[in-house]
Formats: sequence, structure tokens, C-alpha cells
Amino acid sequence: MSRDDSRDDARRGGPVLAVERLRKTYPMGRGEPPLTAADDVSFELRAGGSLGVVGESGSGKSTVARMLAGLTAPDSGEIRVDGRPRGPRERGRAARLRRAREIQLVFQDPLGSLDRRLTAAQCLRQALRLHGADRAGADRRAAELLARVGLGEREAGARPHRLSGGQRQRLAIARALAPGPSVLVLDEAVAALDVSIQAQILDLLARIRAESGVALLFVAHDLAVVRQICDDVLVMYKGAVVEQGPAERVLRAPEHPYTRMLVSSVPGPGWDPAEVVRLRAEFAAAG
Amino acid sequence: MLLDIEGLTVELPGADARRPVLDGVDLRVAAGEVVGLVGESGSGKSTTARAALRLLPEGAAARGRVSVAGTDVLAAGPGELTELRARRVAMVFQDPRAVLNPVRRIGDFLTERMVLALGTPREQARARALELLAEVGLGRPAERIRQYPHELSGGMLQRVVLAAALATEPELLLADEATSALDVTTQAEVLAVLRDLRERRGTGVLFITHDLHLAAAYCHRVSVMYAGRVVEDRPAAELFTDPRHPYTRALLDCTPGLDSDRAPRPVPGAPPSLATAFPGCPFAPRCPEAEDACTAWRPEPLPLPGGTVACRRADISAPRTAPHDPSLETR
Ligand SMILES: Nc1ncnc2c1ncn2[C@@H]1O[C@H](COP(=O)(O)OP(=O)(O)OP(=O)(O)O)[C@@H](O)[C@H]1O
Ligand SMILES: Nc1ncnc2c1ncn2[C@@H]1O[C@H](COP(=O)(O)OP(=O)(O)OP(=O)(O)O)[C@@H](O)[C@H]1O
Ligand SMILES: [Mg+2]
Ligand SMILES: [Mg+2]
Repeated sequence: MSRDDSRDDARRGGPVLAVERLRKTYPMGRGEPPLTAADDVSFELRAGGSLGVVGESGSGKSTVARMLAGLTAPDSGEIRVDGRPRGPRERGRAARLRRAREIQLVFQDPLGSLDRRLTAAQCLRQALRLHGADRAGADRRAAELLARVGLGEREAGARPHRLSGGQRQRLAIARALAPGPSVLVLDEAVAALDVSIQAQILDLLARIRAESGVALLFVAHDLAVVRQICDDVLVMYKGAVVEQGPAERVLRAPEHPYTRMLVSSVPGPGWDPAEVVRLRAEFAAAG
Repeated sequence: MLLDIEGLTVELPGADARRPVLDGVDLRVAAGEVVGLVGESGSGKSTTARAALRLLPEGAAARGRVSVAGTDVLAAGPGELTELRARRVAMVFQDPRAVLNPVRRIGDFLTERMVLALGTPREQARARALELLAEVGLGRPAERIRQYPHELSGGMLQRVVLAAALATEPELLLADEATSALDVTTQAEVLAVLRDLRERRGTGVLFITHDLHLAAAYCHRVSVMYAGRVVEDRPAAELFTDPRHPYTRALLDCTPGLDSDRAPRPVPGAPPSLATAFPGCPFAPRCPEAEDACTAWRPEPLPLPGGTVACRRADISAPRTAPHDPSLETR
């Protein structure tokens, strides 16, 4: 079965991404209990779907993102993409490329992950060639991708350090899309951007999702942004999923006390940081 | 006045810079005050903050006045400047990984600063480092100081950097998107620490952020920058309930709200690069309310009760009537 068939299949029914009881602990030094960064995390994501992952600093969001991308090995648990288990690091070019087509990751700071010597267009062509496009095909697809993320001719010929933060982030997204991934994981990918560019990128993500059926896993601390672009949301606390459901419901009428606290911490009229700290401490003491 | 910037104009060398990076910027922060600085990418926020430390882009020419608690920063000698940078003014950026050495332990990063800048004995510095980490809300500090940067999450690292900035008890803190990478509870923790510091020691804070809700809730006053100029300077509450500059309104319109069903609208067009010069108002080409005369009007701050606005049409730009986020209304 070709990948496209399986994706159609996924669209009809099964989830494109299924994560089951993912667990990751880190040793904390002698005599100290280990730290549980991900505590039996399970969720599913359907093709074209979007799942937001929220939770306080250190709750394990990036750990989950990194395990999905294969940058961190889980202690236990399973990740399936299009029904197929994603094994530990696989050898061989074909297997590596297939893994890359399953899940792509975009970070907050794209500069670190972009090759400083390549122009935007070269960067995309290289990624496309790697995934088997011929020269003409790579040229054509690179131009399409640039257009899709709204980068013009001038930006296409620019190296990363000559691009603005928002342009760089759009390039990083275009490069992640180059292999035609089933799942795009964005870890705080809009956190560094100003509101106007952020609005542009959110627009872009919604469009890409509708057009290509790529599924989004969207790690963010900005709950308003998550509500804006995610169908579902997953709330993490100390490595565990404490609440999960439609974003609209979870963020408007949270059920878990932690989510309630999180939502009430969002700056707005009458917001008082000391009050947030008090509620947070109260919650930690009760839990 | 703790920080007093008056008519600051900064010009970059090179043929492709056709307008100043900063163009007659006025900005003040009083002791104990938090002043927000907002505006799109490239508007000059970081350049303004860095000017308080005379960290200007290479080859830049600066005109105007920058003073920190009486010290004339642009004219300061090397000794004064070192003192200013090492202890009187601290700056915290968005990306903690850029300032932390990946092969050095968290504890060394913190104590080094105190030993170097303040001459604190090493043992005492270590004890103070533990205190500071607890102060910024980092749990298990005794274990954290033995860890390396890659073992901490982004939000934890940012608190480490903030703790280091507080170590020298600065008079002025320049926070450049310093809490942008933090989740709401961690952000509140850090901001509560800062507020405490302000109240106890009168520390002034210049708070650069792209989160307008946060600026409204946390700052006393907010300045909005566009193309190197301050286009509006108002008490925070008024700026958000009754913005006078069309650019401020445009920024509010692209801010998503948790209680709002309205999709954020990007500001039409792109912020101008330094290669574009404007005979008149630089926002005119993107402004929904621009008239022909705006393209020839040199913006100047016009007084409003409690603030200024640099718009020809400020008197006729009514409070926002378009449907928008109610949470910004009722403050
Ligand atoms: N390589 C590592 N070694 C030891 N501990 C680690 C390592 N990577 C992560 N951790 C720990 O795992 C926990 C979860 O970290 P993670 O980066 O997943 O948090 P996060 O939810 O992404 O936080 P943030 O919002 O601050 O980015 C933290 O306590 C962190 O210190
Ligand atoms: N060292 C430099 N050399 C050349 N140009 C510079 C330098 N530093 C800043 N600039 C230019 O000056 C302008 C203002 O930049 P600045 O970093 O102050 O913007 P900002 O408002 O902080 O933007 P952001 O929100 O992206 O951080 C931009 O056009 C930028 O490209
Ligand atoms: Mg993270
Ligand atoms: Mg900046």
C-alpha cells in the first residue's frame, strides 16, 4: 500500500498518529528520585486534525514533541503513524527518509536548524532532492512551497540571517513540509513572533492543513492561539495528561482543577500575577 | 527619572539604510515603574532598549540624549559604562540558550556573575544563587545548580537567566521579550518577582513584549513603536480601551483573545525595511484611515491627556467600534 493510500485510509477512519502510554524519565543525580518528564502520555490525531499541547514550563511538552520526532528515545510506549509503529532509530537511507515523511518538527528558533550557507530556495530544493525529487521537480516544488508560505523572490534568494524572524519561521515550515509529512509538530513555533506575523503564520497553518491534510501537533503556551487554531487540546501537568478534549470546551469550561487554574492565569482585566502564584501554589499543595 | 531617552535618533552606515533605525524616540521609565514597549518586528524596540547600555549597532551614529539615573549614557567614559553594564542596568532576552554556556553548570553561571561583577566571595555567591533560584520559582534549586542547560526546559532556563540578572540588584531592568517563551503560570511567577523587586527597591522596568493583553495588565504605561518612532504613548488602560493611533488599533486587531471568536487579522502589508524612506507618516501606506495629506505630514507627538499620539487624524479617530475582544474593553 502506498503512503497516499494509507493517508486516504487514515482520513476515512483511523488516526494518522496514535500515541500510546509514552513514558520518559530522567535520572536526577545520586540518591535523588528520577524525574518523570512524560508519564504514560496517550492521544490520537486524525489526518488534517490539530491538537494543541499546553501546560506549564517543565510539564513535558517538548519531551513529547522530541519523542515524536525521534530526537529523544522513550523509556516505553508506542508511536504509530498511519497505523505503522515507529521503531527506534532505524538504519538505512530508505527507512530514515520514510521516518522523515512521517513526522516533521519545527522549533521556536528556526535559525539554529537552518543551514546558514543555503538560500531559502536552495534549502528547500536540497530537502526535496533528498526525498527523491529530480532537479526539475525540486525546482518546481520549491517554488510552490515558497509561494505557499508567502515568501517572495527576494526572500527566496536570501540566506537565513538576512530574513526576518517571521520569514525564517515560514521557511522552516516550508522545509518541514517539503517531504510531505503526515504530521507536523510545532514546538512554540509562533512564540517568538510579533502579533501581526503570528496572525499570518496561523492563517498559513490553517490553510496548509486544509489543503494538504497534514495533521498538526501544536505545542504552545499561548492559550488564545491554541484556541484559535486547534480542534482539540491536551493539558499536561508534571508529565501527565490531566485533561483532553475539544479546545473550545476545555478552554471555555475546563473540568480539571489544573486546567481551570491555567485558564484563569491568562492576562486580562484585573489580572494579578501574585494571585496566579497563590492559586498555583494552592494547587500544587492540594495535588 | 530613572531612564530618560529624549529625541534619540540612531542612523546606520551603508547605502541601503535610507532612514534612521530610531527617529526622534522619546521614552521614560521612572523608578518603580513598568513601561511596555510594543510594535511589529523591526520597529526598533530592541535597539531602543540596547541604547540604554550604549550597545548600538556597529558604525551607528546616535543623536539625542539617553540618561540612566543621571548618567549621560552617550557621553559616559569607559569606567562609567562598565559599571552601568555590569551592575546598574540588567538586560534579559527571550532566548536563554543564547546567553548560557552549554558546557557549564547552572550554578557556575550564576555565581560567576556575582563574583565578577560584585566581588562576592564564592561560598556566599553559591548561597545567594540558591536563594535567587527559589525566588524565581525554580523547584529543587540545590539539584538544578549542578545541572547543565540542556537538562532544563526553556522556561526553567529563562528563570535562571532572570535570577542572574537580579543578582546584581540593578536599578533598571530591560526585559526584551523576556517572558514570551514562558507559559502563563511561570510568566506570572516571574512577573510577581519583578513586581516585588520594583516595590521593594524601586527597580524600573522597560518591558518589551508582543503580548498586548499582558502589556495592558502588567504595565503602567505603554509605548507603541512603528518604523523607528514612538507613535503612541499612553497609560496602559487607556491605550487598550481607547487607542488613538490607527496602528495601535491594527495591532489590537491581530491579537487573539481567549474569549474571542473573532479570527485575528494581520496588519495589511509588511512593516517597512530600513531601505524605505518616507517623506510623511510611515504608516500611511498601510493605514485604513490615511488621506493624501498623511503622506506628506511629518509625524510629531501630539499631546493627549496623559500621553501622546503621532497621528494627523488622531482627533477624529474615534474609539474602536469594530467588534473585537471584549476582555480588552472592560479594564
Ligand atoms: N536531557 C534531559 N536531562 C534531564 N532532564 C531533562 C532533560 N530534558 C528535559 N528534562 C526535564 O524534563 C522535564 C520536562 O521538560 P520539557 O522540556 O519537556 O518541558 P516543557 O513542557 O517543554 O517546558 P517549557 O514550557 O519550559 O518548554 C523538565 O523537568 C526538564 O528539566
Ligand atoms: N546590528 C544591526 N545592523 C544592521 N541593522 C540592524 C542592526 N540591529 C538592528 N538592525 C535593524 O534595525 C531595525 C530595528 O531592529 P530592532 O531589533 O530594534 O527591532 P525590534 O522592534 O526589536 O524587532 P523584533 O520584534 O523583531 O525583535 C531593523 O530593521 C533591523 O533590521
Ligand atoms: Mg518546551
Ligand atoms: Mg527585538
